[in-house]
Amino acid sequence: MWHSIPKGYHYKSSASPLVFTGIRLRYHFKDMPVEELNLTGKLDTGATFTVIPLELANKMQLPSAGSTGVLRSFDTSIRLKTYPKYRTELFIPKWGWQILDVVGCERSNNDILLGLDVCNQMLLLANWRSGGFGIRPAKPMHRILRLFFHRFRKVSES
Amino acid sequence: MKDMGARKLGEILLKKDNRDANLPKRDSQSDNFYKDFIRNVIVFKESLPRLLNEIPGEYVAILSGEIIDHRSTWESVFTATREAHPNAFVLIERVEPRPTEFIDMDSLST
Repeated sequence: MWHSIPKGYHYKSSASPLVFTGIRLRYHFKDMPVEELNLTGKLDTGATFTVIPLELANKMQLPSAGSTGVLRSFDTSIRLKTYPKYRTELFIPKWGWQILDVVGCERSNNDILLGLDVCNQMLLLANWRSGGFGIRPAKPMHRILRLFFHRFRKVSES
Repeated sequence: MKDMGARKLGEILLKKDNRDANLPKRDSQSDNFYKDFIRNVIVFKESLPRLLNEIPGEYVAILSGEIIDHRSTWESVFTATREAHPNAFVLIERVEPRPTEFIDMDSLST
């Protein structure tokens, strides 16, 4: 699935350009789904976990999945905060449902931060020139891409 | 004595959290939620050595600083506690050794 990169996002230093819309979040209680629709997610390839707004977690009364260990931020400073974790099912359009433990945290934008736990088996391809990006299962593309980049390197070196 | 230690540790953790100016401001509702959550985490951490001897591998439910239930599966603990306390957040933790782990995050709040 090919998504477009929203115009203007490139110039906002704090915003990730890879934005998904139509994300759904749910859990089941006695076979009854409790679901939230039309959420927005930003892909963050530097994050270990997916993070959801605490307000949303409280509103949905998401079930607990424990608490986080020590979190380390991008500048390697250690933060001793402890955050709640929730057991959820996350839906990304044309990608499907996946069961996931997510971290709950106050977020200034009321969106979901999609971490490597949702895309660690996937291939991410972004074209900032044309303003689009896509995600596919990585395994079938692995050999083709290795060949592509190997040849590309040879051409650049010559 | 044990309660005093837990309370002090809770105060230190909350002070550290309040120092972080980058985080969005919490409203009183989420502040109360977070205080209660931290209290439950501290109770779990303090009880962990005892729980590891008594019920290793099981899941425990903690509400308002008290362990209210323990069962062998997460689903059974969740169903039982949600039925008993439908409007409360019950912390569910697995009784297993917890080595210090470092998890990389850019920023959770933006």
